[in-house]
Amino acid sequence: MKRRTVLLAWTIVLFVAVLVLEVVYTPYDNSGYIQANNVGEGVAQADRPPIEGPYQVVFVTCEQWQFTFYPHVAGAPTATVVQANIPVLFIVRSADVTHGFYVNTAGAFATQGFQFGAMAVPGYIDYVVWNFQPTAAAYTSGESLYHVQCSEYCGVTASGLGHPWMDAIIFVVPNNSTGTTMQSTQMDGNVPPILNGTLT
Amino acid sequence: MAQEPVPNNGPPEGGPDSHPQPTTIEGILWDILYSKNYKHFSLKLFCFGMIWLFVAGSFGLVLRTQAGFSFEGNLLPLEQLGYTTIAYFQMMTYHAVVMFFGTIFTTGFSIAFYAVPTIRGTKKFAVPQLANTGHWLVVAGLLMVMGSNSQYMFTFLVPLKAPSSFYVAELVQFIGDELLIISLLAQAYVDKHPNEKFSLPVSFIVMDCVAMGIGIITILSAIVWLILSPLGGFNIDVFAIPNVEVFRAAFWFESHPLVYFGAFLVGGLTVWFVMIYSKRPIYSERMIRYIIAILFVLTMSVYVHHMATDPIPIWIRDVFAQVATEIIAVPFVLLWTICLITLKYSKPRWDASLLFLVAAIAGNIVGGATAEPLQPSPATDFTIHNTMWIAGHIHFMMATFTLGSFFAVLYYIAPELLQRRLYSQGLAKFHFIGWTVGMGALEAAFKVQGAEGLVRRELVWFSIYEPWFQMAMIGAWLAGLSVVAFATNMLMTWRFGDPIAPGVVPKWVIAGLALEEQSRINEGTYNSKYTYSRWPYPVGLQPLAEPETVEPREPIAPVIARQSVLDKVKRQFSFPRSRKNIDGAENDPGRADLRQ
Repeated sequence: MKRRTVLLAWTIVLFVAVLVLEVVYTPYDNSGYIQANNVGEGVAQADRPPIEGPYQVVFVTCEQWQFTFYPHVAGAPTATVVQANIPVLFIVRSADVTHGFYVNTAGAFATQGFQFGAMAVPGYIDYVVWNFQPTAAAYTSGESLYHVQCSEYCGVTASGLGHPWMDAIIFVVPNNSTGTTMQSTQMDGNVPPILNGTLT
Repeated sequence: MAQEPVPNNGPPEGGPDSHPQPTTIEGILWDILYSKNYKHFSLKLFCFGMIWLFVAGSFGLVLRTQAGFSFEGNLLPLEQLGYTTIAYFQMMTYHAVVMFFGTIFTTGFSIAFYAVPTIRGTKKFAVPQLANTGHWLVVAGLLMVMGSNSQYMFTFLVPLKAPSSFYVAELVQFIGDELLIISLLAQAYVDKHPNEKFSLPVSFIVMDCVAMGIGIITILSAIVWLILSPLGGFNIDVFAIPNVEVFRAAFWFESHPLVYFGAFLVGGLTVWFVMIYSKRPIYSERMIRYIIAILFVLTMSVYVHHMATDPIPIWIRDVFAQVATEIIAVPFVLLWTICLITLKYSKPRWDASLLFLVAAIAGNIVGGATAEPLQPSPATDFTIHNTMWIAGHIHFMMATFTLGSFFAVLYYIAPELLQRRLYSQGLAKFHFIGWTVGMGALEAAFKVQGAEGLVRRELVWFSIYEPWFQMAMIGAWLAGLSVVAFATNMLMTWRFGDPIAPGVVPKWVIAGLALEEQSRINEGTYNSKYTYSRWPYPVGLQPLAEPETVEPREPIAPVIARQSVLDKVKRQFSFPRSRKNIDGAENDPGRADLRQ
């Protein structure tokens, strides 16, 4: 076989492989929620496709050096409570510099098997959707907590305050009456709204 | 094919090799300050590259050691070690900036400034004023960076406010780099004949200089914009505070290609050494020419995946931003395919140079393959991009691949620059093992940590990450020791290496030119009108015919060559050097092996 043929064939194979890699992940790369992949994220913008409910909606404000949830646990703005098995729409913004809203599911939080998050860029509103699905064992062992970290370096002070310690907590409760009661108690009745229609 | 005369003008007359060597201390100091000879300039850059390697490596070792000795998810209390939290991130910044713009850039320039006139046969230093000025500006800029107290790496994420001194330092350093790039381009074009074409190594270097020269202009623009804005500290509100996304695009869109700067400088030499070691023409010279052109375009699209969070239509983001970054893998895989096909079954001599070369190719393949999952989706991109996974990727690409390629080339050309044979292949192989295994351990540890979700640039972490920090620390120290072996080998080569007769032109230049020409003959693209060097080189080599049947050969008993570094050192330092020692050296099979 001629060299030109060999290299041309190999180039085509590589090119197709790259495209296949993109196509395989394409359903995942969508700002709407994809059930099979349990994720959806993007930047709030004019051509964002409509988001089908139901969704729990949580606003996240990032600033040096703390996260603030709305709604949040009574008296603790860096903690919130959401229900399992209903996708949560996190609407993320930054009040100062670029931050990363990053939910670490490693170690004791490894019930999701995958980390997720979104950038918080000043001037833009980003969002990320995630359906928390902890196992029954996670509830009983108290592991239905999720650790939120800033993943984009945003500076430190000499006294030790700063980016490495910018974190928050998400509690996940069961999607039943017991869970709803727990959520309402902790949040003093101010629970995340659940949207059932189409969010456009 | 019959031998044909090479249509060139023969070797240059006189030239800078006839430049008088400085003999006084004052003369040597002036020569260091302002080198007029391209070899001296190259040697100067090599020495500075080594200095930056030790400086930046020391910062890296402090970081790895501290993380390796962490316990219960925290670093050792920083105050006990005499520095603050900010200092930790400052050292991280200095490690990255100096290793990248100091070690890799300076060493790469060192190789290129020597290779271009040597291969072209001009043996001329085109614009020494510009090159020397550029070098000293880089030195000044990097020293200023290390005194700037910046803690933000080189991400420059506005509106974070780095000290103004940092931006000024970067401005000085990038101006210096731009001057060096312009003078390197001048090296490639000085005295260029109308019928002269660039050989593969020179083509790679010219493409690299054009791409990176453009890239650095955009960086300089972004830095000036920032300095003039209220964020820059001068409070000259000319252009207002840069928009976050626009600034990031201005800074990175063209400057992301800089990550390939070092690799492209030696890309063509890599191909040449593959030919020389395998004693064959390259599988397809024409395809490599296409690859050079494609890489020039695609290096400028690598940045695009950072646009994933930009408010652009989603279909553009999907199709353009993600695929544009992935697709650079295609020319790289093609390049390595061609190299590996050429090397296949060639039974090359496996010395340190070739070992580094093959490890560098493997490093690029592994590093590139593990970068691909970052691209397809913004969701994966930004959650993985901000973890240690990306730290593993950058070390694969910079340490194993780029610096590995440099070491491969340096083991070949540094002895020529020093006019001495390499002191010890044993030390060189220790360097190879230490560097490859050490950096491999560090890179693997980073990758595992990233896969487990550890955010990069952190001070606190779960205890599950600690074993990997310890593995990274051991790997870093092993790599550090191997670099000491490399520096020792180079020093001993300079001081005690067997002298080699001053040749008019290195053998690898003639071999590379001849094999490259043979590739064109094989592909039918040879044109006798064009010349690739002023040196006369053979054209029309015939490949060795493969025998119809392969007769089994008698096994040949290997000759064990003793090569004890300790013995060598003892011998060299046994003063006065007696006649016996010298005679002994003559009969030493270990040294005889090195003299081949």
